[in-house]
Amino acid sequence: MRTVDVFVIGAGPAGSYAACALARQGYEVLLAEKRPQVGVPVRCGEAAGSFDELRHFLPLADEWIAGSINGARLFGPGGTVVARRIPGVGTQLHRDKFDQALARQAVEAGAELRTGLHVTAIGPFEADGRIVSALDRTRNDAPVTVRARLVLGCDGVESFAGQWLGLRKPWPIGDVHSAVQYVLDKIPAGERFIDLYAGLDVAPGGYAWVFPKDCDTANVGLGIHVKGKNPKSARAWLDEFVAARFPQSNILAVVGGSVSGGHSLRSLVTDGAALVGEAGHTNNPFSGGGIMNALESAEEAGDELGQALREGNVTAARLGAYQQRWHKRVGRTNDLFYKLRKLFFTMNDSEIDWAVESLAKACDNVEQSSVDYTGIFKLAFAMHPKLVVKATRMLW
Amino acid sequence: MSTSTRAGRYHIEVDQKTCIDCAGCVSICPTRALDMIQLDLTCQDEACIGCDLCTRFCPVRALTLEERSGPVRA
Repeated sequence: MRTVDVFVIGAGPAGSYAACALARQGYEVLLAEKRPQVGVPVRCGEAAGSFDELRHFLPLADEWIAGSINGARLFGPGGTVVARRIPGVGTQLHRDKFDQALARQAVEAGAELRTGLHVTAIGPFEADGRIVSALDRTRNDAPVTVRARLVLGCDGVESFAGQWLGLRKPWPIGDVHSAVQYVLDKIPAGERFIDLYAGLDVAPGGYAWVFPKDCDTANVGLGIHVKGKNPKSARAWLDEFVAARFPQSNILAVVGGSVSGGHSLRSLVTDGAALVGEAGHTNNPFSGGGIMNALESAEEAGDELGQALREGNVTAARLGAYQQRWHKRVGRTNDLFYKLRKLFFTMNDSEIDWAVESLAKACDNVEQSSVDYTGIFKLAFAMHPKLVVKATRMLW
Repeated sequence: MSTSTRAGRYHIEVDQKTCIDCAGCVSICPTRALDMIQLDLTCQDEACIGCDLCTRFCPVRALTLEERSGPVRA
């Protein structure tokens, strides 16, 4: 049986970057991707951090950059708009090319990438590691077994690895959004702002987004909270949204998926294995964004788990240091966002409008370099006493 | 009702023309009955408990829950 130092399941941003970081430290890394091709199909809104933030993980390249993002506008259901101009705050990606570039970087660092390798089980922890079983879809589903000192589950939102390792369960319906997105043409990018629309008539329990790509195209999508017996589909909601705002556009592609927003997992590690990226619930639970978080968790994992391998100690107790680093860097902020999410998704339209207005006021005040939180709180109590009670209970 | 008495009575039918391979259903299936093998969604009938969560969650309504009429419940 083949033996490697690290077996990485999933060649998304988290898997490829963790594989790259560990290969650079001289470890023998096998990076398994179950799909025939890395990065395809795209299941993402494709908005990520700034050029500087991205450059930290991968040299910038035109092939995966659709354009910069120079600010955001938030549209409340009652017509309130809050706009914030921050040039270069983010980057609109071509996710397929981006994922492929990250995987290539891992290969150049010495990792072995195998596409069409579908992991089906992770064995129990033994002194010399865990045995990973897989089927090689490129060779008539030939069974493959590999012994690895360390297994990284980087298999994203539907992580099977996390469940085999006993670290997570399938998503409760309240923590995931049913989402669909069109790539539309004939939408001028303008100043390259991302637009977000909230309201029960637009995307109940979620929000809709318009992210400009390149050549007059944009990612237009929404996520909804699925409730009740026979709810309207996310696609039906999106069709209404598009018909009302972009009747002239053609649909160039349809993208879908679950946008997850769970609270932190109790544990990201077990003996000889760890979860990295969204498999370990690293997405921002409020926005659903996860590319930068996945890369950051992979950086912490690469560093800390590499050290653990050098020490020859891959027990849960040792690997826990990775989880602590992640929690300190992003996880604890995510837990606050999780509470915000819970609050936001119980708000009615008038409460959402109020929140957007308050945000507009707060943004105005930021330019005068003082945010009047007490004022906002007093106003909130006068307008929405129930909301304040709800918020107080959820956030503290 | 336990899983064992319901197992094998249900099947999730996928309309491949409508399905957009997003695997949203895979992420919420409580019994891991659904999986995306390469780009085709598959349903392990013996694991499906007929909870209907995936059909409601599917953003494009590509799934239907089918219940077998044949064998009588144990």
